[in-house]
Amino acid sequence: MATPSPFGPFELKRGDSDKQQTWGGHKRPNAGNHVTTLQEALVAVDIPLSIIDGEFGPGTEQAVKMFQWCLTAHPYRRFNQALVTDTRNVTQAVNGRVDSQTASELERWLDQSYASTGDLVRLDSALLDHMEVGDGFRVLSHASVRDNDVVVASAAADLITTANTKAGERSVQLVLNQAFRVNGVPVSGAVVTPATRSQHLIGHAIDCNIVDGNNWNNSRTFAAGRQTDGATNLISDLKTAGYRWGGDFSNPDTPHFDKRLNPYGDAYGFKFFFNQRTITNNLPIPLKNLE
Amino acid sequence: MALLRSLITLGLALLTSACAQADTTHTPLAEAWSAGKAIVVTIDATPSDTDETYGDFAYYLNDFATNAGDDWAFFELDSQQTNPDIPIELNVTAPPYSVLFIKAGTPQGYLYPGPILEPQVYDFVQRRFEGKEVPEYLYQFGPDEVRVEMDEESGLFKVGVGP
Ligand SMILES: [Zn+2]
Repeated sequence: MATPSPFGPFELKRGDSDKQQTWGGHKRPNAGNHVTTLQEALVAVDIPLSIIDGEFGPGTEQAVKMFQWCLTAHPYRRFNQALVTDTRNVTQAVNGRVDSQTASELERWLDQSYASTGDLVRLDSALLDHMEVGDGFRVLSHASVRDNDVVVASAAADLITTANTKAGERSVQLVLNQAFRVNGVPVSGAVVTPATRSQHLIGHAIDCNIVDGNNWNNSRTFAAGRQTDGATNLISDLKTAGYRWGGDFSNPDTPHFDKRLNPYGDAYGFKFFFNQRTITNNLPIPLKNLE
Repeated sequence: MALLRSLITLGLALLTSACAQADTTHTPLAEAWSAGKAIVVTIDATPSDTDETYGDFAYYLNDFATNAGDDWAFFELDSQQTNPDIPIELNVTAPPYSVLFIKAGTPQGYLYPGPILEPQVYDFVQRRFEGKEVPEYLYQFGPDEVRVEMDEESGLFKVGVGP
């Protein structure tokens, strides 16, 4: 049995109901509003939940999963208007059940006045010796973001730092055209339908050209097989390091590199929601230390 | 997305459909041309949700369209459908996601054969069409030059190889 918590001495799960006095999958004789209390807590830490009704349905289960994802995916928490790094390391299954750790963590977040956020970070491209932003690079319109900032998911920041290091080793320069992408475009400007499940939308991809001396290795260079050795070697390095190169796609996309998350998995969906919300709601984005 | 690798040559079908129309000189395409607008035509740009190549293509195209201003007009051409609004006879090979750039009064148009995945390509064409200086490195992003003729009688745009 779980440790007693504001959410009752049960492992709350889908199917539980305050009205039915069913908690932890069993009808209980005692009175309580455990599901309602759970739902109020999830909303208090800014997990999306449309109805507080005391019924543990699919929406509540999804909200619990999103909270569990936040616990384990990254250490960032919102506190007042700022962002803090939670020093507590938690390993938590994302299963939608309010087990004892989920309950105690939710209680701790309430005590600390934490609120949920995504894992976007800013990298100062001026500190990257072998990477720069190109003329066509669009700086994100966001209160935290400065001119040289490249925004990516914290979990994929190593794609940028590794590419920078390897570019140095291969004596080439990377010119970045895009990293994180805001979902959608102004309707008036949309010519074609944007993709909705790209790795860019969660901050796990970059588009860049590999500049080797005066040679810009671009899509047409690769299509013609005229890429330089420096480019070939750098791409090989990045693939060896575990990243995907778009030049290997059935539809080649040679400027594209990513650290792929299954676009149909929960982790992609949750990261998409939180990272896009960070931009929409102008929530703080921390600057990652590159020193 | 299964992007066809085989090249598609557009021509006769579009020519036929264009000529079948009674008044093709007042199509939206012809009007944009007469107004001196720079015209961007995407060819067989089938959307895809998860394809990164499509996603990048769509992003850079939409970003350019959003910022290009009123002197630019955008059209989509589906080579499998007859569209009297876009009477173009393409006598050059254009794989899916190719982009055609044309403008009245310029020495040549441009065809990028396949998806544009770098914003520098748009930058290059915009500078050329607007008579601005082109930095040396941008020439490495230049699309293929094409010859563009508009038949005043039929309103048909004929696009051929070479400037
Ligand atoms: Zn990309």
